[in-house]
Amino acid sequence: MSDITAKLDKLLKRVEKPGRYIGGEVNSVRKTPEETDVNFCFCFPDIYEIGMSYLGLQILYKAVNDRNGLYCQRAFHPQEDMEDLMRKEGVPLYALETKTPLMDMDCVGFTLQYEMSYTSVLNMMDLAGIPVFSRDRGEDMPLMIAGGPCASNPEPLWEFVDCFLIGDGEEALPDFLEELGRAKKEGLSKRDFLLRACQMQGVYVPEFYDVEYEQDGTVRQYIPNVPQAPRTVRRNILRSIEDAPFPVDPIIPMVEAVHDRAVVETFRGCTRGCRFCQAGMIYRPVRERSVERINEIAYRQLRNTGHEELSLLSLSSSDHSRFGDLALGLLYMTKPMNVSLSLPSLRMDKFAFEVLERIQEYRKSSLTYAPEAGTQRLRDIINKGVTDDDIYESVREALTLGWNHIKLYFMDGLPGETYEDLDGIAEIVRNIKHINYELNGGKTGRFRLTVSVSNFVPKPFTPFQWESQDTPESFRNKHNYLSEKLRIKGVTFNYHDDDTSAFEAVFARGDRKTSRLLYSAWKLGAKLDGWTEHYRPDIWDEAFRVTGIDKDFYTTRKRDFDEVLPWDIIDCGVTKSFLRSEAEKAYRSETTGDCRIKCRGCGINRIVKCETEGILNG
Amino acid sequence: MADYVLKFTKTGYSKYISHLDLMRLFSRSFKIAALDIRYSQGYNPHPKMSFAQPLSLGYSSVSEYLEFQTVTEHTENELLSMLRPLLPEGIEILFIEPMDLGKTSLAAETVAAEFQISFDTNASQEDLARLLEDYLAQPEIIALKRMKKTKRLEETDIKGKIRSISVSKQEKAVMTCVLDQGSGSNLSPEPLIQSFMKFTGLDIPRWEVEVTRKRLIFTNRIQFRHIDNAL
Repeated sequence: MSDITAKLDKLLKRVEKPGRYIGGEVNSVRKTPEETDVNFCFCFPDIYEIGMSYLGLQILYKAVNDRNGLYCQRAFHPQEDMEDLMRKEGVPLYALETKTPLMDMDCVGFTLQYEMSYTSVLNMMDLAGIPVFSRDRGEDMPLMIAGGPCASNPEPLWEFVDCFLIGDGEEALPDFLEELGRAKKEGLSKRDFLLRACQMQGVYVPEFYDVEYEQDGTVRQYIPNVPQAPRTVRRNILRSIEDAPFPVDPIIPMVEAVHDRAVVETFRGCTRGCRFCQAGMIYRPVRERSVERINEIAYRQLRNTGHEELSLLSLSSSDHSRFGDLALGLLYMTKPMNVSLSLPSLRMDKFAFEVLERIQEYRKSSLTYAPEAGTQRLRDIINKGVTDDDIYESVREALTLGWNHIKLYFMDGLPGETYEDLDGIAEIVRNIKHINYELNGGKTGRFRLTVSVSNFVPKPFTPFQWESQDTPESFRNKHNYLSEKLRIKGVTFNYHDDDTSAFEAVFARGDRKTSRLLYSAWKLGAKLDGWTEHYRPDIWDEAFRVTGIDKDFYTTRKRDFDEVLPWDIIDCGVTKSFLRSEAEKAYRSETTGDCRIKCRGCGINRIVKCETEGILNG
Repeated sequence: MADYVLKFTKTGYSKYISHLDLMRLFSRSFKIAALDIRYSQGYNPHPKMSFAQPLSLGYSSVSEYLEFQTVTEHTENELLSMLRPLLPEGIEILFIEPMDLGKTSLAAETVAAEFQISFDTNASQEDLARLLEDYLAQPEIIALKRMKKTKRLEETDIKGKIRSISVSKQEKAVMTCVLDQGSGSNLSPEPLIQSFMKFTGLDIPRWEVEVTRKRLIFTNRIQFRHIDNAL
């Protein structure tokens, strides 16, 4: 270990922002080997500044470290300069807290937040000197686990990760590690431990399942090959988040992180049922934190960190059942502390504006609005419960209240989309400009409108999980078309023209065969693919070529409702029949209302009580 | 209103905290401690605090100084117990004391600093002493120095800014040098290291060289009540 520290010192003198690689931050945790039964390293497969902005890391760090005998440390993907030196000088990837090589951990866990980070998962294992294939790792090597939203379809990583923890992690992860501690004391082999662990809820061990395929390459069935393995793995669902572990003293990053602010999660889940949205399905049911508890956490976080900004985290801030009290209370708290409050993911309906109107002091920098589609027809297909009138009324309200920068978010490539829907985007933009002209006359100088369009990626566990994705060519054509249409003064148009959304789509709905594509791309040098400066399309083309993987099979192919999907092995709580009925309603342009009005039968309340079901109905 | 000077170390991994991050760290610590630090007036108020002399990234130090102003007076013990638990490993407060700086500042009163430059070498104490003597005997010591205005590296004579250098060899070679520092005349150890290695032909890569600031030297207008013996 001292070997590493001596070498490390010589590396750090030669890299940019060495503060990323040193640990020792305020509120980071130190435990002695005597206090530690299980050494766990939480890995974020991206650089420090990104990983440290992720609230889930802080939550799980606390949840694990609060348990006696468990020690959670951290590792991130180094930047290229550091990686090159580590490889050259033979310094393996290490945990920031104690500089222990990952190889010496009992367990190493990756969080899977986006598909484009998968190559970085492999690269971090390799940088740690840990063989990437599970079958090549011996008993003396750490158990490799993974979790996070992308783990809801774990199959692209099935050869590399020993076991996946599906669903909410704040109880499941420490419970799992304690179980590992017991197994270690008993001297169990990895396999024997996994045989035990696969009986815990939310634990998926790929090696305990054989997969049979049809002639056409689709899945025929999953067959458990040990009696202990369940037929499907049901995701972990925390009953309540009110008293779930939540950091009031988060680690303060040494190097300024992307988001350097206090964050409180106000609720998990969403009742709106947008048909493209994975988070809206896999985090059901809605579980709220009380206003009192949110206030307490926010206050203690701000006191303990000196942060100058407080932000709320949820899928839709203003859907908290007491959003008005919450927002006002937090404003009264933060103002005298010189802390600015930001309320992201606001659903800009009448109710939200009533609240914002009362908060006269709320900083009116920019207002984000996500109609997602340009026409009512398409918004009904995707079940985005927003009408044209809603949009214009909100904008009118916002402009009257003093906002002068409006950001609009849309998707292109949605199922059922035509060029008329793209025209609809341009029309919304023109109408908003017109409203601004009406209200502010010729003095439109300060008014700015930003339009961002992102490429639709069909995701597992959504009503659109069977849908075809647009081809990169079609996306390019649509972008060109929109660029022309949106050449309007004062309007900025943002989009991404690269093929990353196709790779996202391959891995989002990938089966076990895609693991070879991933391996091949990584072998060819792919890493940190989420970064434009690192992303190399030539590598991915080559990886498809050498593995013979048919990209269209995963991206543009429309699935049959009866097809066995690779992620059917996971039970996220929402039934497949509900997703199917939602898809069929989409084809008929029928909408499904908010489940706070009445239950829509997604199936989650078979498993847990749904607190928000029907609450808007008196 | 009260002025204080805080002396601290920057050792171990904390030497890799950049100047900017260090500023954020202290201002955040003041905030967490709920210390009534004075803020500048203006559109973007910032805490009234400043370092005597910035330290290059990667240098250790046992002698860093920060001055700050508070609205009310505090005892030294009070300040110490507030701030000590809030700093990361390697940043240790040596003392805090009140100091009336009037219109001046520690930065304006800094004139020189003592650095310890150490590296591994096979050369003996005698070899090193001779090499150093020859190096210093040059009529001019030409080194590449980054120019303040143009930001370009230019050849310049640094001899006049070197106050003293001595060398000793225990396990490692240790050069102790006192160099001009401050707003008047300033010499970073970097051109010295680079020109010394070049002149002597000691083939030691820069990253094998460890630099520690041992002492900051002020004009005699700055007098500490604490014995300021960093060594």
